[in-house]
Amino acid sequence: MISLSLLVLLGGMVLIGLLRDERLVKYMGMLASAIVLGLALYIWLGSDWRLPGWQYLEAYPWIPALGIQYKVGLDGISMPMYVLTALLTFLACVFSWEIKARVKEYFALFLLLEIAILGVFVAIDLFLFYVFWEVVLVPMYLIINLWGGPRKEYAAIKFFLYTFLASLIMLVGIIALYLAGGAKTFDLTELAALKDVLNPTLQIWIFAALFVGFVVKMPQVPVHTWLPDAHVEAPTAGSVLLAGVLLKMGAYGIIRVSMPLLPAGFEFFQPILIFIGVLSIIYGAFVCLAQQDLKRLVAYSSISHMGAVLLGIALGSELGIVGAVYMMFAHGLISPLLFMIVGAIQHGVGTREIRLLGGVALKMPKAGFIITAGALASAGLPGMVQFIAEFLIFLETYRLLGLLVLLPLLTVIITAGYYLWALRRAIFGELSPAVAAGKDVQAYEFWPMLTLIILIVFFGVWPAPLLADIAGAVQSLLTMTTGHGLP
Amino acid sequence: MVLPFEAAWLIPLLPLAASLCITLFGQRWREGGGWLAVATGALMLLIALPIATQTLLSQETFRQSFTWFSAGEFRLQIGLYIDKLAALMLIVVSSIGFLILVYSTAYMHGEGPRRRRYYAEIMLFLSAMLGLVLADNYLQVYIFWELVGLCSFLLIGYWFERPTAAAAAIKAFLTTRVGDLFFLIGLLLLLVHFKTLGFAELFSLKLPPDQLWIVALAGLCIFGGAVGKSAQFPLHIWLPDAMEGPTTVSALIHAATMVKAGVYLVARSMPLLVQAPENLLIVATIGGCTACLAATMALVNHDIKRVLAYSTISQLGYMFLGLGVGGFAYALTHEAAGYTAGLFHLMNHAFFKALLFLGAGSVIHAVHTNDLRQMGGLRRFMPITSLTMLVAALSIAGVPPFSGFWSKDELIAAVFAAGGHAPLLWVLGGLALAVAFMTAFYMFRLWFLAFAGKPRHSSHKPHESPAPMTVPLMLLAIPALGSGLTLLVGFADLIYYGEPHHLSALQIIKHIFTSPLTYLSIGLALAGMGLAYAIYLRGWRVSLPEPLAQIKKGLHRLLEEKYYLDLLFVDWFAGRVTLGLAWLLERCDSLIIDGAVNAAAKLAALYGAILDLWDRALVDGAVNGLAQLLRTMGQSLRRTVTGLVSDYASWVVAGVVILMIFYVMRGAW
Repeated sequence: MISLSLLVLLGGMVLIGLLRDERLVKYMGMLASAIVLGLALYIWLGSDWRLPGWQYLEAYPWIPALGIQYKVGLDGISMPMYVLTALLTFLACVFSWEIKARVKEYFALFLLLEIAILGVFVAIDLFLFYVFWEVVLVPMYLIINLWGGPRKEYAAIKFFLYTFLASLIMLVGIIALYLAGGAKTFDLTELAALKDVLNPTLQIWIFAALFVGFVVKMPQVPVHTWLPDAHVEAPTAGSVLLAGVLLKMGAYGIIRVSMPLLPAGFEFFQPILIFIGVLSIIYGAFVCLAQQDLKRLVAYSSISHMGAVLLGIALGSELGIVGAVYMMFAHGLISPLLFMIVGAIQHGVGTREIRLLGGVALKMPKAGFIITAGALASAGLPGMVQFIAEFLIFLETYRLLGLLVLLPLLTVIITAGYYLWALRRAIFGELSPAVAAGKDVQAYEFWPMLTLIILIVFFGVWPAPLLADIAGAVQSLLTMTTGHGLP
Repeated sequence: MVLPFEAAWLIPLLPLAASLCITLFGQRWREGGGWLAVATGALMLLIALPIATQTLLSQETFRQSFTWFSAGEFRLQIGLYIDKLAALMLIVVSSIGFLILVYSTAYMHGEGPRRRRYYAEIMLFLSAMLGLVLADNYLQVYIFWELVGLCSFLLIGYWFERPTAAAAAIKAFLTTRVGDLFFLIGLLLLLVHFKTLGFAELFSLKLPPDQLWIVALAGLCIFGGAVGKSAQFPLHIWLPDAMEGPTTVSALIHAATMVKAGVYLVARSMPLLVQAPENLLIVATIGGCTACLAATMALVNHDIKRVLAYSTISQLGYMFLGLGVGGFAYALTHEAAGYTAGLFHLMNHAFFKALLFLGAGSVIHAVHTNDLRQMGGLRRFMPITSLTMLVAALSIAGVPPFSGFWSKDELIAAVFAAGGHAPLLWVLGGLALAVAFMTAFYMFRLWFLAFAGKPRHSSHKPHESPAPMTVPLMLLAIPALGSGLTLLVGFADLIYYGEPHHLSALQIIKHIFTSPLTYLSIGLALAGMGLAYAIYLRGWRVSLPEPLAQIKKGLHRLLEEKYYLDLLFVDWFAGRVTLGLAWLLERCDSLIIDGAVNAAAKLAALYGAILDLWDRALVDGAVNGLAQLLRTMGQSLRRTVTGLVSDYASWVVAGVVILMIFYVMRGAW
């Protein structure tokens, strides 16, 4: 089922290459991503994720001499990310209806990007994981560089160098892990079984190397500055995937690779992870307050929210990780919504500068409604998906770390503050000249955003099934990590 | 009519459904969904009233809950918890809510298609507010607590294109969020240590002494939430600004219901609070001081709605004073008269304050200004409005037999009765008496300025409002006049903490009218009214000697500047400190971190340039040779790339043929 999805995307790319009519290319991109989304929903609903173990497992030898396999499968942690990727790619394709330049390349690259991201989330072989991880860079780099804003070259190269250097260090860690294990395998399950063989000091070094790769991707303070530039220059659909799922790869890597394979390393780095997470939450939120560009503001808010993800993971307990995965899912719905609406405002008005906007809700009522909903969701309003995630993370932070929880909690006010202050200046108030000449959200922009809003509310009101799915996988992960139940 | 209690689920669900319907289909209806809102309100009232009555008459608490989601060892519930306290709130919210919906159909008429948003949001508010009072656990309360805050934010900012309204909406949301944060901390404390947030489970806990600090701290944090939502000092600064919203919103959300949520929460949490009596002294002190502080600010304001807003803050302070004193006394003597008085005042205040706001709305509707200085003499043009407002004013001023008199009197009596246990309470009792005087003064200042004297408004002839507005006024005047009398027919037997007293009406009357305190508070109220009459109707002026006049001027300015608290919190703390910090970190980001990144990139580029020189001198020689070779090969290949589809097709066919031959041979082999 998983390989079939990847083949569908590959086939879609080939067909896009053959087609001449730009409209047909667009339909082809939507069709391929829609089929994959359908398959993803079938995968989700067609299985009981509370059961331990991999589902939809496929394994074929690839380079037998080195023990490298094409081995893919899903569990309750990767499944939400998988579905999210399929959903967001489809919505991004719909949202890109008015792309005019190099349409073929554009849609082909989005499908390639989807293959790579899905690959990262389904890979159970560490080598395969790394290959997909690196493949992600190429289409993203090109998307920023070819369809980006005025400073696209700078942003694209910054994005590429930052993450490429980090993933090279990660590669060193992966090779060290492979050699130190001595079992000639990249299979994550088999590598996890070797964790007691691995010398703790070595584990710490390998953990550090892998963490560099992961933390740059998330990204967290102080290696975050590629993100605002990349977002500001990227086309909207690029930002949607960048914020929606690309950032999650870093967090996912820590959960999937570092924690079960290197428990001693995790234990050593736990306080540092907590520190980085909390620092990013606070730092990101404050920097948001000083932003003048709506898109840059949303970008910085991602850093703050991914800080909460890192904090949840760093707690290392079931509830913490469940909260973190739910937060990844929540942020994967909310930040794409915000990037879309900011893109739609840019499209309708011609600017995203806060000081040039004003009265958007008056002239563009749909846009006003959507950005208000998105901002409130991102500020953690109950009834919306992120509240559940934050509540779990705060609960577990207090349970394990006591009053340290006050630091991330106080940031909740700052978060509400930067969003509402931006709304007050850009969306409410009197009509500015720029907005007066603007036009409201188009249909092809509106429906993807409305879909996201409905999902944000749905998973905020009825979190139980997804939480149970995630919790099942987290429990087996922790059993694998510690050899016994929970702390 | 007897209804099964399960029907109570419909009470919050009906307005929610109406809100969704109005959002989705409202633009097709000419009146923006107003009649759907009113019809839903009526249905909601028809379900809520029997359920509330049944609850008040029975000794049972109706409970029903489901697991919402589980997380690790925690099981979070969603459910109903209908006891007498919830029933009281149910009556207040659903009846006032319904009347205000009726009033809105006329008041919002001039708004055109935008009304749709108003009705959708106000129905969402009603849904959340009813969900809040029926909740069976703290998490559910918190969720609806945030949602009523959201609706308050949206409705204060109803005219979001006005910068002042947008600013007020955000101020309200952020200020209350400070309180909400405390509430959330309290909730985490309870959940982590006691593994549950259910009222029934938490209130029946038998705690070892070493866990008492948790309850004490959690209780204080929960009260922090109440301070934000019910606009108590120091988080009161948002409520006067909230008057930027439509007057119906001020009446419903910012006078009768949402701001009472804090009082409700403290009353609900009483079993936790009484375990740490010193917390209750904090509740009482905050309440008493806020009552006084807000009343002083109401004395000098010229905006009819803001006077009422300060009055609301002040009266909410009364309620907290009552609850604090009641709980404190209960912890020592198992006697909680203040608890009953606080909630009694909650009910009475909801009716007369809703009436005052709706009356103010009627006035604003007629003269198109909020400024008291541009009103005057409206009595002749608006007989119903002025008369109903007079009833409400007499009620809040505490003139017998109007409703405010009974609850305020009970409340002050309870404070003084508990005075023996803590001398602080004597001071608070004194403050409460001062507030009684000021309340009568500012309320009659308002009434005289608006309705009596000569008209000061300019152009057209004001007229009485239409029936959908005046009928709710008249209906609200009935409880404003009479809801206090429920004390005589057993209010205290229904709403109490600990044990009820079962006093007969005669005993209660005797108790009240033999106490000198009663006459003192009536006297103060009459004095306040008289002073207002003398100053604002008779033009009485006292010429003070010089130093005193200066002090009076300074004092006046202090009050007009709201004790400089807005300046401190908004301009200084939020504006300077927080934004300054944000600016600093932004600079750090773009100068230090990005500076380092860019410098590293430059260094790498420099290194690359050096390598490049080296390469061109040495390596290129070798490479160029190779390139030459490749170019030759390329030239020969180019001949095959003709650009003709038929050529490519033949290549493909040839390839397929070769592959087929290969497979066939392999099969044969």
